[in-house]
Amino acid sequence: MSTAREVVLRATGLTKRFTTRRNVLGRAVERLTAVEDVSFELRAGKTLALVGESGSGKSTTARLVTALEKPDAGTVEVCGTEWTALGRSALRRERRRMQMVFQDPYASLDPTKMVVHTVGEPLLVHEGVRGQERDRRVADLLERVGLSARHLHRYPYEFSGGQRQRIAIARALAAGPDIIVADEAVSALDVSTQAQVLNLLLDLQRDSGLAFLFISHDLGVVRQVADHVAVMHRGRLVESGPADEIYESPREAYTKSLLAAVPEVSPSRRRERAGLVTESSTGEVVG
Amino acid sequence: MTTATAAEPELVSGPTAGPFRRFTRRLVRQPLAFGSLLVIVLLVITALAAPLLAPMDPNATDLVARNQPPGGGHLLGTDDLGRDLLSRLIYGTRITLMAPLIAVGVGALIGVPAGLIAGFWGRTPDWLLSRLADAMLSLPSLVLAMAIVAARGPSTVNAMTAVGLAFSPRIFRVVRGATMSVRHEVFIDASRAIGCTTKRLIAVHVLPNVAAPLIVQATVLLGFGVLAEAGLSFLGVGVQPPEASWGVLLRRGFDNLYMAPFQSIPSGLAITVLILAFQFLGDGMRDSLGKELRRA
Amino acid sequence: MPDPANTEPSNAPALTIEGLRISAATEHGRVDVVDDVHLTLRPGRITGLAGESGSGKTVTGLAVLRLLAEPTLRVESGRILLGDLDLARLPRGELRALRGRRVSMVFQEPMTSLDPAFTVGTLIGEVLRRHLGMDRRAARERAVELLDRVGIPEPEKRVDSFPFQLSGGMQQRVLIAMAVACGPDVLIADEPTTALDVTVQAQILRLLRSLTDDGMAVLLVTHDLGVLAEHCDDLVVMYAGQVVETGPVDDVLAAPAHPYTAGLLAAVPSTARRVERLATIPGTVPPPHLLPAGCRFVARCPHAAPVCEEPVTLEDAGGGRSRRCARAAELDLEGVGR
Repeated sequence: MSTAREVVLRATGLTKRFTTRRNVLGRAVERLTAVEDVSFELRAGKTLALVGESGSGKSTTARLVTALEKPDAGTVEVCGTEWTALGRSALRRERRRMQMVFQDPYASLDPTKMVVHTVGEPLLVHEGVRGQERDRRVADLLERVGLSARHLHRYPYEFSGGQRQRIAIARALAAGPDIIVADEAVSALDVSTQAQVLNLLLDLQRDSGLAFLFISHDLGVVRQVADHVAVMHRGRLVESGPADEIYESPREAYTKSLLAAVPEVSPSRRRERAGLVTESSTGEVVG
Repeated sequence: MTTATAAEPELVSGPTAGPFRRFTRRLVRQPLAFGSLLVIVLLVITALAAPLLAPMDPNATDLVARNQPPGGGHLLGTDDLGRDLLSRLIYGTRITLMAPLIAVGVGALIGVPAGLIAGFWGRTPDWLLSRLADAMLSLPSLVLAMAIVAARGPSTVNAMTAVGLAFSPRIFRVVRGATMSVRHEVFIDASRAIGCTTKRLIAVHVLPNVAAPLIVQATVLLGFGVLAEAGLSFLGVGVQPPEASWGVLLRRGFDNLYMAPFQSIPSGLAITVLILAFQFLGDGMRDSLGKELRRA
Repeated sequence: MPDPANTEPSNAPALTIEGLRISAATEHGRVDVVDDVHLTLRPGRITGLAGESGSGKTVTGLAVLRLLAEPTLRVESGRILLGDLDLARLPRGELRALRGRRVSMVFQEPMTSLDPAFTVGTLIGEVLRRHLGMDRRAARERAVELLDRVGIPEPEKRVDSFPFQLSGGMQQRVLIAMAVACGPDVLIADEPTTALDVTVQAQILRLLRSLTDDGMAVLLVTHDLGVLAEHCDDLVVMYAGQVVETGPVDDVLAAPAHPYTAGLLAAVPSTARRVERLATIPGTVPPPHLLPAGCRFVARCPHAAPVCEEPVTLEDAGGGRSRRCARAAELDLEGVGR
């Protein structure tokens, strides 16, 4: 059934290297491959989760996909348009199709801007909407994310972490995107708030057919939202597939060790997990 | 309050006032800053209403009544040409206030855009602009002022434009540094991902976030501007006699210090008060920017 | 490590906190951020201190070593008993001699907790030389032993490494080595694995467990209920500055006695299966200046009743458990299936 839906995001062979040392002439002498040959597809109305530990390249992949960084090789295609081939102003216009929600709700909102300006920015930039029309539409968006019109003229510092993340989601929705890239979007939140925001994302997906690229290190969270999972390790995709398959019968040793290390509240799940991984290979990398 | 929706309870009560209202409210609550603001407003009124306030013509000489001590017909006494010092002080307010504003205005006009460009783009533009700023800092500002005045003739505007040029690398440095730290904030990436143009990013998201250090630097430079004007006028490249600024009055009084010590006291005090007022107002403004603008 | 005599009477608590109240200066005046906190750490056991942000768990942990940012934060009343010493009232000098020797602390961010200018050996050696008066040579040898103890491979080589040359997990091991260098009775670990990857986290927590073999008591402050469930013996749950429930971990998880504990457990996303809709606790923790007079959880509690408007005390529920809920006896809360 899922195969019938159109592909809204396709990454092909994404590769990114960062220069870690330069010589006196400014030439790169040392490079770090952050992402190597990463390919995946995301279909309309579905959620693809990119999981991995720190340094696995998942956040760099998110920045490549959203064109905040240029890949050294590979292409990104969004709703049939190849973003990696677009000029600056064409890319700017296309950006509304794919929006982003960041990890730290305290850093991702401009502290000098009132909510109405932050959330209304995509409306202004893409449609030139301002004034009362803007206020009305921002108020609608705030209500969709569980806030209200009373919050229009408030500043970010007046909100809790969960509320800020709702504001960030409202801003992403304002552009009317097909895809939302959520980079560790609930990682900084407390358990109870996290559940609220996850439910909100799931509701939005059900109501408006959004596709999510969900980047997270938290395998419990990913389990609750993902249709497909892609596991990254040292810049490469090591395993990908339908979520149930990855969680119930992982093939790669790395995926197994990752799943085995997740602390579980439920004793029964702990026993299941012990059966899943006969021998955990959790060797820590030194230095 | 918390049952039906997933919305979290209000953390704040009462409606939020506009940013300017809140700014002024916070400013007014700081006695030192508010006092400084009052002093500056009073001085501006004095400058505007000088012809009404001054008891005599500031430039009328009276060679009979030279170096009169305070009291009698002259509240602050007279100078070595017999001119009424109170009147000269009142008229001098005009140039004294205008001069540092010109200097800081010119400095900001050059320094702010350059700092934003260097800080936001980094790499080559940053390298070029930073070297240029270093070069300007190493050039004595007095020499710069002399050169400009030599080319365009002596006047307060020309002299203070030169001072502004000398100020610009200082403003540049502050803005560049603040911009560099703001540029890496997530909210800049967030706005870029929305589809903002670079111009909008800088004007709407970076500039307000570098306002706090910029204001502090500007008020420090306003103080310097007052002193620079006095120095340049003394050298004859600033305000032209018989007009006088406070700096000129101080300088002339200083020359007569042994004969008429009272002459330099009022202008000296006035300059001190003005510089302190700029300083305190700047600190107060920075603190009044509020949590939404104040950065660590 | 501690002398064997210390491990014998395992019933005597290693550290007891009684009626701790801590206030903070805020823009709304001085308000209590920790109120009426009771907890007991026992030798050889790991006690988990759970709570969301704003629960006061970190402040409680810091208060044990009197590391609160005074005068913003201030202990108002209560006792922190280490044996018969009250840490809350101990003179500064005596307290300093105790820190790192009988009570130690490990923090969340290993990178910022280690002075980047010194080698690992110097950092650990400093603790030994200060507290135990060791000379340079002996301190270095002991540092190598300690690195080995906390599971750092090639300790003779690593002892001369600088912190930045180590991974996050290794840095946290070094911090733990510094903390246990003098064989303390009590180790306070404030979110020690939050900044680390899950695979590394599991190893660090196993290390903490192995260190309790010698009779050290550990207070593990964390928001991660999975970590608590897997690695702690006892559990203390805090909400809005108060302890709301305590008890042996397995008992609390199987049958929580406070609706907040139950709510938290239900909200944890499990890797086991995808649920239609995650359970949530509506609303957020009220800020300290807007706390209700009665039960502090009342506005978010699905079982709230008029009786909850009255102040509730932490009462003993038998079986080593206690709870702060007026309706505890009549509620049958769902826990995590064994």
